[in-house]
Amino acid sequence: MKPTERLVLPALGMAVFLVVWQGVVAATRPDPVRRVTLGFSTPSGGWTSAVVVGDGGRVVATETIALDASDSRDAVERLRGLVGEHQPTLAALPAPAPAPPAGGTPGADLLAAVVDQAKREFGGGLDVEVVPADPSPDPVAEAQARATRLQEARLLRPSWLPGPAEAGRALADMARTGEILRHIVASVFRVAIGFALAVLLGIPLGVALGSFAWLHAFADSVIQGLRPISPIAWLPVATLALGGGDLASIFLIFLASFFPIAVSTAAAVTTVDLKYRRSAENFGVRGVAAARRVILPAALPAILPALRIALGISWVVVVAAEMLGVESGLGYLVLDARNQLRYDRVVAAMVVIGVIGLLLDAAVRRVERSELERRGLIG
Amino acid sequence: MDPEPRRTGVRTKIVIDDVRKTFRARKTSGIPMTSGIPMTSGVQHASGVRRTSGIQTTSGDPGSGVPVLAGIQLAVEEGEFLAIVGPSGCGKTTLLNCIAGFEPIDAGTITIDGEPVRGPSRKRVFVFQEPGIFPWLNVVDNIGFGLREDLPAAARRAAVTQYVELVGLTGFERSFPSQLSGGMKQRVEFARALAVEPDVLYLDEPFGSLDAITRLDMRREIARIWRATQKTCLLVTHDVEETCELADRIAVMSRRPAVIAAVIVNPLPRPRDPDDRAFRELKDRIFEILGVERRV
Repeated sequence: MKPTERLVLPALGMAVFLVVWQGVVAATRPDPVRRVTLGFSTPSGGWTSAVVVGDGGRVVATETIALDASDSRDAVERLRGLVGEHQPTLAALPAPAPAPPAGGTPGADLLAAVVDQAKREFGGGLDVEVVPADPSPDPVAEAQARATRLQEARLLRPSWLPGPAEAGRALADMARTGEILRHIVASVFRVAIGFALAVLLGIPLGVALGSFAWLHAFADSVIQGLRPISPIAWLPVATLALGGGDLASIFLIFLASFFPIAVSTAAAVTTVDLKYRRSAENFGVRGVAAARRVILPAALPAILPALRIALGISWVVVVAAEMLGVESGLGYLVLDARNQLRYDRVVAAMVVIGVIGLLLDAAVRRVERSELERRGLIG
Repeated sequence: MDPEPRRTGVRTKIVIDDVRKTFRARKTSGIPMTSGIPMTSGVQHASGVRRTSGIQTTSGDPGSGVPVLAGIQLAVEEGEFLAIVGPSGCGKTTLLNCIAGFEPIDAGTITIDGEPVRGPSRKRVFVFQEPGIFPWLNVVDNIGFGLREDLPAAARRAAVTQYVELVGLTGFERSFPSQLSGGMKQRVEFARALAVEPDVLYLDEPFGSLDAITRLDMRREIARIWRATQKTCLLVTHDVEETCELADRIAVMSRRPAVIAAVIVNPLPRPRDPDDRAFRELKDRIFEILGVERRV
C-alpha cells in the first residue's frame, strides 16, 4: 500500500461511516410535527406584538397588545381572544430586559404577568418559556422568530435519532463546560486501575499455569468456568460485596480482562522454545529469575496481542461497570443523558468511548509492533 | 605423523559408561495448544519412529518405545577437542543432551571428574544448532546473560568487552540478533558461552544452520577460540570433514540403537588442509566405519 493510501483510505472509511450514519438518521427521521405557538416581541414603548404561528410554520394571526402597568384588563382580554381562537400550546417570551426602562415603561415582568393570567384563564393549557432573540425593529418578525424557535426546540429533539451534527454539537457543548473531560478522566482512571490489576495478577498466574502442569490441571476448570460469566452478571454480586461505587466498577473491569490475560499468558508460556529454557537453565538462571529474564520476554510476542484484546474488553465493559452508582464516567454519562432524554449526549458519549478505544488500541499496537520489529519478526 | 602433544595432563574429565536411553511416547505439556499439533515432517523411519517437532511418538507397541542409545562408552579428556560423528537421527544430539544434563538417561553413568551429572551447570555450556541467543536482548546483554547478576557494572562491562573482541563483533554491541547475519549470531552464542568461563563447551552442530562459506569461516574461528581458551570441547556433527578439521579425536557412532563404533585419533598437525592426502585418507576411514559409500 502506498503511504498516501494508508492515510486516505482510513479517512475515506470514516467519511463513509458518517454518511451512512446521517443516512440512517435521515431515513428514520419523522416529519416534523409542529404545534401552534404564540410568540411575543420585546415590549417597547408600552406595546408588544403577539404572533400566532400555525403548525405549518406560517403566521396565522398578529395582534398588537398595549401594556399598561395600571390596568391590564384590556391586554388580558385581547390575549384571551387570541388563545381562545387559535388554541396554542406553547408561548415564547422575550428574555427579561437587563434593567427596567425609566419612566415606568412596562417590561417583561408585566408581560409575564399578562401571560400568567392568560394561562389561568385557559386552565394551564399554555406552556410558557423564555426564548431569547435579538430585539428587532420589526416586532412582528421578532415574535415570529421566537415562536418558530420554540416550536423547533420543543418538538424536534427527543423523538429523533441524533446525527453526526447533533452529536458533535452536544460534544462541543460538554467540552466547553469541561463536563466531558471530567467523565473521560473518571473512566480512564477506572480502566487503568482495573486493567493494571489484571495485568499484575494475570501475567504471574499465567506464567505459573504455563510452567506447572499440576497447577494447570488443578485450576484450569475453575478458570474456564469463571471466564464465560459476563461482568454484567457479576454486577449484583459485586455491588453486594463491595458496595456501589468505584471499588465495584474497578472490580468488574478487572474481571473482564483478568481471565483472558491469564489464559493467553499460560498458552504463550508453553510455546516458549526449549532452547531458551535450556539456555537459562545452563547458565543457572532458574525459578523466578528465569520467568523474569527468559520465559516472559520469550512469550511476550504472544502475550502482547492478548493484552491489547483484554484492554479492549476492559474498555467495553466500562459502561456496564459505571452503572454501579458512580456519578462520573462515560458509562454514567450515557445512562444519565438517556434519563434526561438527551439522546444527542448519549450519542456524543458513544462517540467519545469509540475514539478513546481506537486510541488505546493504536497505542498498544505501536508497542507491539516495535517489539516485533526489534526481534525481526516483521519488516 | 605424530599426534599433537596434549596441552594438559591425562586426567579424564568426562566418562560415559554404558549409557542407555529409550524414547517413549511423551507429551511435552499438559496444555492443548495449536503449536503442539505435530508438524509431521513426512519422514517415516525404518524402525517406525516418526520424528515430529517437539513430540516423539512411536507407532507399534505403545509400552515399549525405541532404544536410541544402546550402551555408549566414551571418555573425554581435559582440554581435548572431541567430535562425535554419526548418521542423521542416530542419537548424537540425545547423547549430548544427556551429557549436558538436559535429559535423563535410563541406564549407565555419566560422570564428570568423578561426579555424576545431575543437571546443567554454568561450568559446562551448551551451544545450540539454531542460535539459542535471546532475540529480545542486544549483543552486549546476550553475552552478559550468564554472568552473575551481582557482578559490579565495571567488571561486567570488562568481561563482555573482552568476549565481544574475541569473537570480532566490536561495533555491533548494541545490535539485536535480528540485525545480525547467521554467522554473527553464532559468534554471539560462542561469546555468551565463553563469558561465564566454562570448563567445557558442548557444541551441537553449531554450524548446521550456516551457509557453506560462513561455515568454513566459523570453523576457523572456533579452532582459533579453542586454541586461545583451552576449553574442553565436545562437538556433535554429521559433517565428517568438520570433525577432521577440528577434532583431536573422533568418536564414530553407529546407526540407532547407537553405540560408539570406533574412536579415531586425528594425527594431522594444525593448521589442517582438507586437500591434503592424509586428510582425505582420514575422511575415508571414517566414512568406511560409518558404512557409507562416499562416491556418488
